[in-house]
Amino acid sequence: MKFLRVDMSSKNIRSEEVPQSYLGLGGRSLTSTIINTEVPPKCDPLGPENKLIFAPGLLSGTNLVNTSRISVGAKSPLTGTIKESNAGGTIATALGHLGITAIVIDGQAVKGEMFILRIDEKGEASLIPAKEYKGMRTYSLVDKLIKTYGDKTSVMCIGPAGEYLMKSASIQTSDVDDHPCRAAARGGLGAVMGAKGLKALVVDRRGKSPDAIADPEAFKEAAKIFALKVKENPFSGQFLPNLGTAGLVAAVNSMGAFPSYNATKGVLPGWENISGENLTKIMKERGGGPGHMGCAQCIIRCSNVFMDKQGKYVTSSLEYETIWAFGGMTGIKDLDTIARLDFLCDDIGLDTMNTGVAIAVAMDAGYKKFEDGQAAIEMLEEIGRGTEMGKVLGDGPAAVGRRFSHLRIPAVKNQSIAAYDPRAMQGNGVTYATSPMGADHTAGNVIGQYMARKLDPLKPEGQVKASRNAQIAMAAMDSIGLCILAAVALEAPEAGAAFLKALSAKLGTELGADAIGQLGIRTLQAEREFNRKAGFTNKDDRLPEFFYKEALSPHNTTFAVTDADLDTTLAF
Amino acid sequence: MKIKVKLFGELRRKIPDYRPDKGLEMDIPEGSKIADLLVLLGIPASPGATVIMEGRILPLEEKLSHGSLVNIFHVMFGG
Ligand code: SF4
Repeated sequence: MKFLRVDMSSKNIRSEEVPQSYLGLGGRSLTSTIINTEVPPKCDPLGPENKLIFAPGLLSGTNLVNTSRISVGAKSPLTGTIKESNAGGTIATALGHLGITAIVIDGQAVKGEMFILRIDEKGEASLIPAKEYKGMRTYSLVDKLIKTYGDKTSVMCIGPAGEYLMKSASIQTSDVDDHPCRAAARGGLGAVMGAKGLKALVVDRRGKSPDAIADPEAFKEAAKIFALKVKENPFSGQFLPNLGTAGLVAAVNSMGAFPSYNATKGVLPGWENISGENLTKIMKERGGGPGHMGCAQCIIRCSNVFMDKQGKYVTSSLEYETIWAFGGMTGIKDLDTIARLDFLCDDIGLDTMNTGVAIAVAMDAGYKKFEDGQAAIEMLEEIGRGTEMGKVLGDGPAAVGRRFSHLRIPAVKNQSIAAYDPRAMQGNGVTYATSPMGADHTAGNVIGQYMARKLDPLKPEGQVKASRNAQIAMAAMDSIGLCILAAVALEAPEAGAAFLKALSAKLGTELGADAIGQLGIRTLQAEREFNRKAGFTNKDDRLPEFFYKEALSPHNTTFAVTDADLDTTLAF
Repeated sequence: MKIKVKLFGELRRKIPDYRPDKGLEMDIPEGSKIADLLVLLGIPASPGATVIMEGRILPLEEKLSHGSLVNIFHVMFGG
């Protein structure tokens, strides 16, 4: 249980015991609490006062399945709010094996200087000048780093977008195959990393000093039951390994909630071409395929590998949200083009959602035509080169809207919405509006409630409660380090009990049934407190005007949850 | 009465030789409900399946009518 504090100004690295006030926290609950305590709320997100924090989940590094999630936190240059961006891959487990609870990056290197933070198998950290890696895209960077530091290395890094300090810059991290295709994508945290002068975090995977588990026997027993339940659940056990998250394309289109052509339609005509069913078919024909293990400890395997017609690797983990951003929002109905765009985002270090929506806004404003795949690829290359237009696109949909004086910008607090239209899934609209993170589906997705027939997606009633519950649960999962796709198994009471037991056994305290919810609430409270100190009020927790005014086909509904109701969502 | 059924995701494997482009043409008793159809297909309604017609998620008690186009999905929780 230790913190590594790295000051990029003085290059001083300090290892310290986890301070008393942070004990029992991990992942998002830890990054958000540290930021709320230690970062001046009104600071420049790209200045030395901001802190960039990497924190594996509370259970990352244990044997519990699907716990290889890492939280990256900072004040966001995109939203201006507190931010936690969550990623899979292998690095959370690697840090867990070293007993590292958080890495806190402070200060700022001299402009133009770049460093790598390396942590060896003993947990010793050093800053290494990274001049030779400057400007590199992530695939060649990771290749080179693995050649230098060995094949038992996990990497978290930025591409050119992060170095240019673009507001859609992601932090990419290596998957089980050492491809930097998993991302802490949202909120422009890649720009924070770039501003600090940190090109990559490189962690040895051979650490053997994990934190002790208080009751190893009880933990083992509970972990076994939980794993069984994840396998038994039809969504995590059967659906995801065969279709991946892309399986949602058909369902969300069938519900009329797939924001298309920059959110002017709720169904994409021809969505069948980009459906999960079609994706699986293509991948199986070409080699690669679904059922790919993206993250350490994963027994679900929602990831995939997409090959081109010649059977050459194009990209990995082509996800629903990316297919939507580059397919639905732009009208590009070709998986080969979408896969290429996904690869380019990973390689340049960009959030696929914010970037796809930025391109869609540009198309809607008339800069290029909808459905023009080549134009989309060229726009991404402009971002990669950092041209004048590339810089606008790389700052996301709000920047593009400003550039073209275009008002239809599907974003909240400058961050793009995700692949669920708030007019046809009102609860997801509540989450977009009220999440302390800006529009973010992973902060509290309500679709499961709709599909399980518990709530009508089109009516405002019941949406605030559903969003609130989802936001609390997600904040807790992001803190514990459990992949949210495994968290669906918690619906089964036996799985929930086993999970609570595992967490209790790890921490050495008998946790009550409400402990997980309390962790989520505490996290959201810290986040909202930071945002308020940064100058945000309830008035910022609104959707863009067009969602209230332009009805969405085919249901012809607008967003109908009242402001007064929105304000109760997280008023704990 | 005749209805058309489209299956998505892994539910397609429930029906041997299912053709995604064609779907299933079925002849079911007059007055059948969605729950009855799921039983006929051997798809458990809970926690597994969601039925969508004309953009709406329908309750299990909903009655089908001649010519209905029924889409059946797994319950999904987001991606
Ligand atoms: S289900 Fe997908 S995202 Fe979750 S741990 Fe497995 S591969 Fe990673």
